[in-house]
Amino acid sequence: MHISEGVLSAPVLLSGGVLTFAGTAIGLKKLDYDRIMTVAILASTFFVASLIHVPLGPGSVHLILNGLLGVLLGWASFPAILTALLLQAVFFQFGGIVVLGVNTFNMAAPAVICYYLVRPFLKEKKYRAVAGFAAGALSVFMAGIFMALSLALSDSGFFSTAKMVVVAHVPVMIIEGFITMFTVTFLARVKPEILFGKNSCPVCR
Amino acid sequence: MTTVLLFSGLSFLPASANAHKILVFAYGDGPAITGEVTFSSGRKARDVEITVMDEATKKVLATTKTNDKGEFKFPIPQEAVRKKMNLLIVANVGDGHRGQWHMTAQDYMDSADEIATTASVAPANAALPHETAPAASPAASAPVPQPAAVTAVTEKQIEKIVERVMDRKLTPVKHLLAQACEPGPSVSDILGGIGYIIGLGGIVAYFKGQKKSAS
Repeated sequence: MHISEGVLSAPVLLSGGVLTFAGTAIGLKKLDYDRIMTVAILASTFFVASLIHVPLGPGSVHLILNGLLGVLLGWASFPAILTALLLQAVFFQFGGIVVLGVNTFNMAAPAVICYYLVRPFLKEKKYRAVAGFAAGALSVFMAGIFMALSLALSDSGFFSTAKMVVVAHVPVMIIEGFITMFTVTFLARVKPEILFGKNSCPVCR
Repeated sequence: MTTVLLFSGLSFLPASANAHKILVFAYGDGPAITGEVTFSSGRKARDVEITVMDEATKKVLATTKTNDKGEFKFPIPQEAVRKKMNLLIVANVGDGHRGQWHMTAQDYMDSADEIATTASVAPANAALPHETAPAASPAASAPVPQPAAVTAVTEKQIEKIVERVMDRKLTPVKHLLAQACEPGPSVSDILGGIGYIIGLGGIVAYFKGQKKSAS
């Protein structure tokens, strides 16, 4: 999911940067004082997740977990993912500083979309598991589409790239669906305030 | 059924699926440049497009593809030899992963020169023993320059042979070095990164907390 430096054209890089800047600004503005540490912990989860390789078939896949961040953080996914990607670029040379904006947008925008699409269903106990799975899978799928789109805008052939990227991420989508599902149902039972915030928590009120 | 489907689907996965970055490594190998492309996880990158460019002008000199072992080989472009270009070898997987390798003219000129000189030395060298053997015994007046010429040639020959053998022996070492230059993330890096993020959270919390208590 990390696009390397030197692949994208300048307009794509620039618009990615602008969009990420806007998203981060909204994220920081909406950020609650009480939730800062949750954001930090999830940012480091995201940071580490891409280092976890799951051996599968001929190769191995790595987790992204942007769906989990999306449902838990909403707009705060932008600053969280931006920070994590910046550190990954600096420490591990994944992606790069120049493509940071595009990479952040590609992973954080699906997270925010999932937040609006899926989160309402998380409050209902019977939909919770399905919604969690959907968030995990959908966000990876959308990240693949965004990535293919940014490559297509710089180069050509959206469909071949999109097919390649999305097909490659099908196993990740399934794995992340399950991880997000289990995390969400577990958090709802053990620490509902992380999931719903202190005020809107249906259990602890 | 679904697992069968899943796994049969997996075998069609592009090899690049989930690597973080790709590493390109190349060296002059006689009249050609040989190299290989691997993903950061260590897997070989198959069927990846390789573009050879002049580093200064970014003009494409040659293109090729990696084979099943992730290796590629192409003859050194004549134009590059003539103008002593520094080369930029770019591997583009097509899904956003791209790696490159800088190759200075010196890196491949040595081996390109070698071909040129061995080609010219070889016939001379074959003729030499016949020439020197009869020449040395009757011409007692000039024994000094002849052996000198012989040693000069053999010295050069030895040098070439040593160079060739060294090249061959050093190739694995070059591989190791190339890999060592691009180490994977270390534990200290990972822990450091987590520390940074938590620390940043702490700083933000501190300032937000100050604002809250002030208001």
